[in-house]
Amino acid sequence: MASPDTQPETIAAEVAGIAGRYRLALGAQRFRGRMGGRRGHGVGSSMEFFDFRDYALGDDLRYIDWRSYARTEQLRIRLHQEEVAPYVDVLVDTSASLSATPGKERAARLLAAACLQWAKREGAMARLSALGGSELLAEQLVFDGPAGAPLPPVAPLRPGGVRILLTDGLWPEDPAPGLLRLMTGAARFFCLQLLDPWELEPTAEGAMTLVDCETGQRAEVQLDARAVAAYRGRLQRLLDELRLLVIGHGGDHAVVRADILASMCARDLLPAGVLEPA
Amino acid sequence: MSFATPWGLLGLLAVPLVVFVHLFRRHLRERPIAALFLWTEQRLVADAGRTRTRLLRTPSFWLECLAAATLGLWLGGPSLGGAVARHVVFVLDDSASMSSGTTLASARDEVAKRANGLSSGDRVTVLRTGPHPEVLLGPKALPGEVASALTRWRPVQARHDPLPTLDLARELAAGPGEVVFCTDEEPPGDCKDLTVVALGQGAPNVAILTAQRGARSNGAGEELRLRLGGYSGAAGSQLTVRSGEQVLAQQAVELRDGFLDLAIELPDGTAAVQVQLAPDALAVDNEAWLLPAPARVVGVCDLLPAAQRPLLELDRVMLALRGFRREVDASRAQLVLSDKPGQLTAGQTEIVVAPAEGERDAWRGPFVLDRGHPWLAGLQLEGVVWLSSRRTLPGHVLAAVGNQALLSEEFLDAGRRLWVNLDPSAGNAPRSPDWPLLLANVLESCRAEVPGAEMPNVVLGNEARYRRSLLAGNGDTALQLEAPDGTRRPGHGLRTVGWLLEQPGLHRVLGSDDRELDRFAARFHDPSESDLRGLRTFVAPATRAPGGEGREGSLRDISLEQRVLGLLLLTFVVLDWWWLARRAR
Repeated sequence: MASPDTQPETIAAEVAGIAGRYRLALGAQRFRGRMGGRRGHGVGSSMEFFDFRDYALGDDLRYIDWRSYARTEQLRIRLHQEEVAPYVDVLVDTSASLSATPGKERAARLLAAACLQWAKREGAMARLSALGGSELLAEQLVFDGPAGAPLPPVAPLRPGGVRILLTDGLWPEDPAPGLLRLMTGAARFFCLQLLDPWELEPTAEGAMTLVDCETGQRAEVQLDARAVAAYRGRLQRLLDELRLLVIGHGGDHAVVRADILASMCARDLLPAGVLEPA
Repeated sequence: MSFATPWGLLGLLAVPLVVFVHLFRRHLRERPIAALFLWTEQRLVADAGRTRTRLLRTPSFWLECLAAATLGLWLGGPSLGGAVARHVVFVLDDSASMSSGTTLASARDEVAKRANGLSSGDRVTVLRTGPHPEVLLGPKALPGEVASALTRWRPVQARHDPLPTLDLARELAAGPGEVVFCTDEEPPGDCKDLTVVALGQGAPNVAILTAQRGARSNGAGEELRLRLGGYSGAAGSQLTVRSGEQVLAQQAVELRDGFLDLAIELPDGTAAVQVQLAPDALAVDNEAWLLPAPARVVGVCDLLPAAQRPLLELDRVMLALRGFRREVDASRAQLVLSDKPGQLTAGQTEIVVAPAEGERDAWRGPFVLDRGHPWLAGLQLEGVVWLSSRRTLPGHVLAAVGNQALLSEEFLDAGRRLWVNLDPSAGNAPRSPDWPLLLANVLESCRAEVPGAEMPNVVLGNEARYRRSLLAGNGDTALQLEAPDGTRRPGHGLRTVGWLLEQPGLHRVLGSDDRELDRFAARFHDPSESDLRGLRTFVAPATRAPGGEGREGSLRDISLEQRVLGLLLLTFVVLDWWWLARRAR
């Protein structure tokens, strides 16, 4: 049974209160999708001019450029930009590490629901999928998947759309091959690296037994200042490598400290360019 | 409930040990994390020892406690009841002929084989025959302990009657028991209730029958007198006489008519002598050690007044006596001469020449003597005029005339005293031949009280006796006898300490600080055991139970309880392992 903080109603209420203040910062990128308000790749019926071409039998006479005909006596048609609502694929890392702490799990559920909410506000066809798994609803998220490098979901990713990857990025293996498969064909790619506050800034608490929530492995360590410093150095290297990988291939990367949704948006996602004020 | 090995219950101490380990185990706070690989280079380094923590009553803790308790019970060998077990009493013939040839090894193998054939619930008792039955193992010991008891069995005793030991075995085996008599000849009496295993084999044998060391017939020096005997056709051997590393004689001996008498002269000052024959069927009668007779010098302390000494002719008398030394300290002397009674210690004899004041009587006889007393041996008092006072002597009278006692012996709490009612100022008693004879007799009786070995050469089975000085500082307060194989036995006794000798060879008497005080030479002597002609080999099973009683017993087969406990122990250990492995996953 889920704790009260992760009840779907509670999550939905918090998302409804905060998500309206922001929208996804999609920029001027060209997308593919249903008819909407974003620039598409092809020719459409928007007000924005796109190109000219010679008249062909059957073309709508309303789009003939009569000024050009007056100058050149050639019939030419004015083409306009296509406007689409982009596909949005929210990819959630459902490995058990996302539920290492209750706060981290709650933040993951909040972000997943908020991403779907933001996509809906864009009029996009949003889809929530588990890495290496199938499409599911936000309420069906269960963080008990196996550890390992990121894998694409079972359903093929839609090209030219927006992809939002929600993960903690704590893969012991090299994530580059899996990540590149996720990024290939995306018009916009966001990587939200969600980490618990203790994972970002552990404190020197003395000797304790650390239990890996994915493998069950145990290790007795002495958490002193030196050990914490060494850990933070290794974590920073891991974050930098993931950031370089994502940005280097045209995506956006944001480290998110697990918190309430308002804090995560204002403190982490807005400065990172993932969101913009609505 | 009973326990076969109660000491095994000490294993129950493992239970508090498990609790102790759990109290001081390392309890660390656990934290679930997402990336353990980021911490793998950190190692836990304990800054100090572990401290007591709260006892966690986990299933693992209870399983380990149960396993420890089960282990303790398993080691204790509990018995709740079960089938009646066997009780086998082995009787080992300890006569010397059992060590001839391969008899001893065969007997050990036979007993060990029969003991190995018993189950762990059965019990055994091992007895050794002898003048007094001896329990080598048990009663009712485990079959596995027989092997160690057999190593202590070295038969060297002279011929003896095994019936007392067999009767004891029958008593011990009454009920469910059985008796196995291991010997080398036909057992005496009715032995149908015993299993007789005879393993003897007749063989030629040459033995040293007599070995004596004494003065030569001409009185000059010592000689060794030997008598050798041959049995079962043994006609000769090789004789070697050694003293230390020096070979005094070595010759081939030929036994005519089965016997040979030899006399070998020994050099002056020869110490211990070893006589040895060539190896044959029985080794124990091939060797004899002989020590020289001890000097045993009597300490004499003269406390008589100077005026009385010439009257008693003491200087003249002492010149005629041998084997004494003058001792100034009366406490170290065995014989004290005095004119008044003193304080004696154990083993001391005092001669008090003390006529009373008053009238004197001169006696010419007839004298009445206690001729059976060793002090008066040879005394005649013919022609003696004895001047005595009129007094009553303490003790019992040894010599009297008329109604007057002249000599009496008084027994004291420590030592004894010879009262002499003699006035040497007149009469001719001190000048008569009876006076030095009396002193010589007393001196000889005192010789037995000289500290040291009474008889240095002892036959196996007899007692070696050592007389202590009872004086502080002599180092003979606590005595030990060291056998030729190095084993030591403490001596018991107040004035005289005795040990029964069971090994041939030289034995050392050790005082405080392991100082050697004296030695004993032990040798085997029993012609009937040296004669191996009557030895036989056969096995005669028992035809009825010892004592003819039913086989009802109190011993129980505890193997079932031990199996159950062993199974429980294994179960607890496996469950604990499974639990810990599951938790680790």
